[in-house]
Amino acid sequence: MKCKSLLLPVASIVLVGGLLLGSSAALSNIAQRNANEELKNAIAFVLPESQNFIEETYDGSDASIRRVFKGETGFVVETVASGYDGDISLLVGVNKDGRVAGVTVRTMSETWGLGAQALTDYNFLVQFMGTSGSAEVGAGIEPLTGATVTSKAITRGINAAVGYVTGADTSSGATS
Amino acid sequence: MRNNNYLRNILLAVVVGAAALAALLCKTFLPAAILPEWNIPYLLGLTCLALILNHYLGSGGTYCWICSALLAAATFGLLPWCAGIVNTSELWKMALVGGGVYLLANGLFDSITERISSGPAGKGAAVMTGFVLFLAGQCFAGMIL
Repeated sequence: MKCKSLLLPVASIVLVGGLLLGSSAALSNIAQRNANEELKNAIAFVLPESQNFIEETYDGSDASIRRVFKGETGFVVETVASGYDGDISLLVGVNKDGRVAGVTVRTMSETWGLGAQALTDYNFLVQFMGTSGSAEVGAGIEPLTGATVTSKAITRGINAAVGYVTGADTSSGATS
Repeated sequence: MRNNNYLRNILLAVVVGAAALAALLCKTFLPAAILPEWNIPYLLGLTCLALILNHYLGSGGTYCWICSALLAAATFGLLPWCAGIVNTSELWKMALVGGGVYLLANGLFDSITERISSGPAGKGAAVMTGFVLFLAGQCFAGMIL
């Protein structure tokens, strides 16, 4: 009797799992295509004056740099910084003169209403436009209200991206 | 199905499956969307939802709490993996944490609901218990993690 009553929940797990596996397989090509398209749009957003981008290999010393894309007028660097509640991933567009051209927050799991404002608070993000690796919270950069840790993490990520382009990151190939 | 002693686990599979499918569809068609992490408060929220549904749909009956916890661990481990939300190395961690969260929440939910459901206002006892448990879990996770 005990085993019979377990059959139904086990069957439901298997059924739902099978449906999910099938859906995941069926949607994988579409998901990949949409993800590539979205990345392309995000890259173009942060470095609007460039048209074509080539991904560059980065085997450098800065663990916060994940990917680098080279455009005609600069670079787009994907950086990851440790925030208040997990990692914050950014795409930072940096012109060849080492000035920030654009920033977008890609993923984060910061506190809703506080750090999560970084996604949409343009007044905060716009402060980084034109900076050249020396941005500092409290010295030119006003932090998000109640989210100093998140603000500092984003600042670190942006400075790391600029460091790649300006050569402050000595393993960068940007200035060779 | 309503008379099955493990209806709570069936409902948990449905709830977790629905959440996993929603995450999969968002990842596919809204790749820029930032989805909630499958952390302890999230697993607790899904568990509370399943337990609330079980309270209103189930017909009671005895069940083996160890079997129920193991089924919950399998649910939390396998279903997100099938949807591609977690990879194989995280599957065991998700199963362990999910099973633990379910075990605690299940025990607390039944005890608290039993005690506060009396009189006409007792009809909302399950919803209140689930909601308060979720808030408590969020607070607890925020303090210790």
